[in-house]
Amino acid sequence: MKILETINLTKHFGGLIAISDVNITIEKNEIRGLIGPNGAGKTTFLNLITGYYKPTKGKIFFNGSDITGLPPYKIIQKGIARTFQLTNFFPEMTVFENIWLGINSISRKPWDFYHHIGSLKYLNDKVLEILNLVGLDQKKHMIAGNLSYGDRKLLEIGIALSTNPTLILLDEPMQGVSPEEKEKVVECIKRISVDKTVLIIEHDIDVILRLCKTITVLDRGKVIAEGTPNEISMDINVQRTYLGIE
Amino acid sequence: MVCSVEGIGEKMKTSTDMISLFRVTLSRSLFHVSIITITLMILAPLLPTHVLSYMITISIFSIYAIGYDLLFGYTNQTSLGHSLFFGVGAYGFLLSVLHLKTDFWGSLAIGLFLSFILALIIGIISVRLSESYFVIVTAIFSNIFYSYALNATWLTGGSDGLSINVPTIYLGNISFSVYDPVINFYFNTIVLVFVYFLLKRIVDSPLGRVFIALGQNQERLTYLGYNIYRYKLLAFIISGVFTGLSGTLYCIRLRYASAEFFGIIWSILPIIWCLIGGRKTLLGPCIGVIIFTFFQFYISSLWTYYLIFFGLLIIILFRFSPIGIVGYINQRWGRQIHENSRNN
Repeated sequence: MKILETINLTKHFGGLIAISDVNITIEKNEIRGLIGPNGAGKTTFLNLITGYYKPTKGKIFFNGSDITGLPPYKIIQKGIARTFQLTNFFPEMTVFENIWLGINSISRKPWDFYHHIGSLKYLNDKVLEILNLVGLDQKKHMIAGNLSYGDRKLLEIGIALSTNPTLILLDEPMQGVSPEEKEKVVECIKRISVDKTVLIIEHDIDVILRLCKTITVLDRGKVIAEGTPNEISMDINVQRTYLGIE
Repeated sequence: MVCSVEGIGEKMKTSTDMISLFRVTLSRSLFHVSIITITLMILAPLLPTHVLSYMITISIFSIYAIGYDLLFGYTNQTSLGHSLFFGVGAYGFLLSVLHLKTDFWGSLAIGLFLSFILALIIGIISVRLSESYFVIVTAIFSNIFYSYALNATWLTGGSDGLSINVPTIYLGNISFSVYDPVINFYFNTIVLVFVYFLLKRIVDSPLGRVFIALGQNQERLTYLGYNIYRYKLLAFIISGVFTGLSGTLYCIRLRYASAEFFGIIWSILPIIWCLIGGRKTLLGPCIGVIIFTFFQFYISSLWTYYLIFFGLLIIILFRFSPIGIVGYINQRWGRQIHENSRNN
């Protein structure tokens, strides 16, 4: 079953063509890798899906419904979540509060102004569930800004999970993570992918090869190859892009 | 101050683990605030008039300050347009007493309603703007009203202002008059306590947490599925209405309002109050008000240019604590309590 489908997705910035006629289809419960050299348009693609940019041309379908041009918050409410290339969370709040915000956003009354936050047990239990899943339950009291880089990435994934998405878009989850902590993040992505669809943008090819069964390669805004890790590494276009073979 | 800091410690020990997961702030010590308020209210008839007058002013300005802090401290939006709501609250009350001959509560309701409507309209226009444009646009709005109020002497009395006789307050069968300073003090203090608890409730609720998050990272909040403009508007309206309430009470206290209520000084004062006392704490702005009003009431009689002293005080204070008095206390002791609760 298709969960995300883009049809002729195109984005121009003035004269620059960032994304041109991209058709990508992601199946339910797969882990898809999206790779490509710098400036290939990977993050722009993510920004188009999550509504940060409006596409110049083309359509985006999520779970069969057209989400092209919706404001970001509505797209998130439909069940897409994302992380950011540079860590992006609430640095002065605790780890617990960071996750709590996402849980609250999909609760029945996110604007509840009457109850004390400590008393809403059903929200707080879900927070603890997610903290367990991403492996941050020991650090729930910490101020998020004091976390290590690896833990920040875990927190990012946790925040993305907190809005109960069916599709998670991870933008370079390994960036800046030390080799020791990398394993934690990979394990975490494996755990969440059990019942979620994941799209990973990553420069670390090892991680992509370990996690993904299908890989899409972008270059200069175009899809130049798509297939299993083996097919991709044999593909002449990919070799040309990455190794400069003529 | 010190006793209220200890207060959190005791409370933290008894509170459940759930509550300790949220970041601790000093404003938790409601109990002590209540004790101080009740003591003052019992002592009120014994106090000299000038002290009462000082404390009435503190109550009124504190309402303004904590309402403003919800916007300025919690959601981190600097508005220079709040004098507008202050003036509208005052004139809403004054003009309805003068022309519509409404009773006390009716006039108060009209004052609040007008500030609500204006906060709604100006909020819808300005919350979508980014930081600096928000400051400019709100400042422009209040200046438009200021200029208009100065010129429309037929309505506002211009900078000379208008005086009224404040109607007697009827509460069921009981009636009382704010002309008695003790009664006026009780009235304003009760309103302040009510506003404080209301805002406390909001700050500690899920909505309050969203407001705090809004002040830290709007982009992430959008990508968590929040329509941030709606929440910004909500914060703007809440703080606008409380500012309107404060303007109404100030008008009642002076039995007078003038176009100067719309002046830019009334937009800058709340920023000063919040900064001295500490943003993002409800107690902080009140303490800022207490200090600033002390200068206005007592130091000003010593020397005309008393604000120079005050400026010096601000500079020295910010040298040691850029986050204000209560912010400093929170940082010094609040974090410690936080650490303790984690170890338990």
